Amino acid sequence: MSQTADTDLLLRAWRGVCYAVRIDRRAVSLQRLGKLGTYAECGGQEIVPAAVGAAMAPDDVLLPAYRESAALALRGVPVLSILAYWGGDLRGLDWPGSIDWPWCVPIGTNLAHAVGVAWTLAREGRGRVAVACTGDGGVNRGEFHEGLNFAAIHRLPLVYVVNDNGWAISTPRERHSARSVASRAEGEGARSFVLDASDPCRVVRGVVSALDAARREGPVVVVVRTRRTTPHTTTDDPRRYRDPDDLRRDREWNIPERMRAQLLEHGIAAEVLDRIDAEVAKEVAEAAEAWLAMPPMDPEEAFGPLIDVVEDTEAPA
Amino acid sequence: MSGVRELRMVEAVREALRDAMREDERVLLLGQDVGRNGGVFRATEGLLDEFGPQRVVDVPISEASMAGWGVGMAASGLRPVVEYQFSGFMYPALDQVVDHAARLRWRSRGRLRVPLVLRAPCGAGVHAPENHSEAPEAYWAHVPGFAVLVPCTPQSAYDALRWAISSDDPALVLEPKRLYRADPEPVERRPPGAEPPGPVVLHEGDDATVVTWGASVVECGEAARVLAREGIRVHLLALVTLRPRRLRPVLESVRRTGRLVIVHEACRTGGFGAEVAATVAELAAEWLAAPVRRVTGRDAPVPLPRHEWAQIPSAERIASAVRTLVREWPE
Repeated sequence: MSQTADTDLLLRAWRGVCYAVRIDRRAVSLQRLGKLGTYAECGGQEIVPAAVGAAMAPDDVLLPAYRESAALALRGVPVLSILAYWGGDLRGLDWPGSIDWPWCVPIGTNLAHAVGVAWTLAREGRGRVAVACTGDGGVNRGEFHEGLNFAAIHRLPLVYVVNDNGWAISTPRERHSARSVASRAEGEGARSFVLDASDPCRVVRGVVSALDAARREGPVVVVVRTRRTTPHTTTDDPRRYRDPDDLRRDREWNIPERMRAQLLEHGIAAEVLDRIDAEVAKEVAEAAEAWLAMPPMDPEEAFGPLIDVVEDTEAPA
Repeated sequence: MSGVRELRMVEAVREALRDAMREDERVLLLGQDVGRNGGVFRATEGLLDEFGPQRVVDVPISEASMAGWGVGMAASGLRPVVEYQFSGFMYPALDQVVDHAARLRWRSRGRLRVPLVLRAPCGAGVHAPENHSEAPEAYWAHVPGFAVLVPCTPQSAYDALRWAISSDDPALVLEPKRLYRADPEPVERRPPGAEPPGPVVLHEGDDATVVTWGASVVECGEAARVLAREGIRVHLLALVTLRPRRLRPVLESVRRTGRLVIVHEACRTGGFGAEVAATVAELAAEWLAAPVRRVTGRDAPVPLPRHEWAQIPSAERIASAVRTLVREWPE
C-alpha cells in the first residue's frame, strides 16, 4: 500500500475510533436519561469496529453483531439510525443505499449468514468479501465451527472478526473456551490473524491483510485481543463478578490515546486528528438532537412488512 | 418442459426442482446426499449431472447452520432450496428460521428479502428408525413471516415447490414420505401463480366437512368411501398451504355441512388442527350444528415402526368420528 493510501486508511480508522467514543458516550447518557434502551459500548475495544469499517471496501458486505456502531457509521449508516434502533424504533433500520446487514442480536447467528453471502460473492467472482463480527463468547456457537468448515471446503471469501475481550458477559475466557480462538479457527480449516489492540495501527493494517487473504484463498478469522473497559452493556454491572484490581488495571487501557500517539508519531498533525474528532462530535450531537425530536411512528408500521401473501381469514374484530 | 406426465410424488418433487432450476439459474439445492447420491429418497436424482456441483451441493451435517447459510444466500440474490434429510432433523433450524429467515425482511424494512425454501420428507408409515417419522408442521406454522406447505398429491407437490421457490419470502415444504411412491397421477408442469396452492377436494358431500393434510388423505379417503356406503357423504378437503392460512374454503364448506372433523397425524395438543378449529369457531360458529372434532396422533412420540400405525389416524377412527357427529347432532 502506498504511503498516501496507508495514511488515508489510518485516518479513516481514527474517524472510526472517534465514532466509537462519541457514539458510545452519547448513547450511554441518553440511556441513563431513559431516552435509549440497552446499549453495548466498546470501551477498550474501539479499534475493532473502527478497523473493520476502515479496512473494508465499500462493496464488501458487513454483518455486524451489536457492538459495531463505529463500523456502520464509517460505512455510511446515519448515526441517527444507530441511535433510533437502540432507542427502540424500527425506523433505525432504514439504511437506504447500504449493502450491510442489520444488527444481529442472537450471538453467532450472523456467522452463518456470512457464509451464505460469501458463497454468493464467490460465485459472482468480483473479489468481494463477507465480514461478520462476534466476540470470544460467540466462538463457542456451532455457527462458528460449522461455518468455517464449510467455507474452508469451498474456499469462500469470508472473514470472521472476533473481538476477544476475554469475557462472555460474566464468564471469563478460561471458563468458556478450552483453546485459543486462533487454534479453533485453524482446527476448522481457516487461517487466523491474531492482533493486539494495544497496537491500533497494526490492527488496522492486519484487518486489511486478512481481507486480502480471504479474497484470494478462503476463510480467515481475525482475532483482536482487547480489554473491556466498559460493561458488556448498560444492563451489566461488572463489579458483581470482576476483581476490583483487574477492573482498575483495564481502565488504564485507553485505545483512543494509544492510537492518537501512534498517528502523531506517524507524522500526522494533531490538528488533523482534532478536526476529525470535532466533525464526528458535531455529527453525533446533531443525531442525538434529531433522535430526541423524532415523533413516534404509526404503531402499525412497527409490524411490517413481513410477507407478500397474507392470510385469507382475519381475526374477528 | 410443460405438458402433462404421470408422476409419483417423489418424481413430481424432482421435476419441480428441475423446472425451477432450468428457469432460474439462481436456484440451487443444498443438503446431505442430494448430489452424487441423488437424495436418500432419490428426490434429486440426476440433478447433479444436469446442473453441476455449484448448483447441487452436498453439505456437511450442519443442520443448524445450513438454514443460516441459506438465509445468507437468499438475501444476497440466490434462491436456495435446502433439503433436510428428514423433518425430524429440522429442529436445529428453528433458530435461524424464527430469528432470521422469517424476520430479516421486517428487520431490514424490506431492504433484504429471503427467498429461501426448506424442504423435508415428513410423516410415519415407512418403517423408519426413531426420529425419522416426525409430523412437525405445527412448530413451523407458528412462525409469522414463514409459509408452510404440506402437499398430498403429486400435482400439489409440484405446485407447492414451484410456488415456494418463486416466492420472495421463506417457505417450508413438508413432503409426506409415505406418499412418495404412491400411485402416480397426471401432473401438469406449470409455472406457479402468485397465490400458494389452495386445498385439494378429494370427496364431495354435504353431511360433514373433513379437513386434513399430508398422508392422512389416504385414510380420510377410505373413511369417505366407507361412510358413503352408509349414506353419509363427506366433503373432504386437503389443505396444501397451512400458512398463510387458506381456510376460506373450509368456512364455506362448514356453512353447508354444519359438521367438522379435522384429521392430522401430528400429536393433538397445539397441533395445527387447533388453529383450524379455532378459526372455524371464530368465523363460522353459527353454522356449526355439532362440536368440532379432531382425530389426531396421540400426545406421544411416534412409536417405533412395529407399532407406528397406532399413531396414524385410521380410516375407522375417522369414520367413527364423522358417524358420531351425524348421529348425535342430526339436523
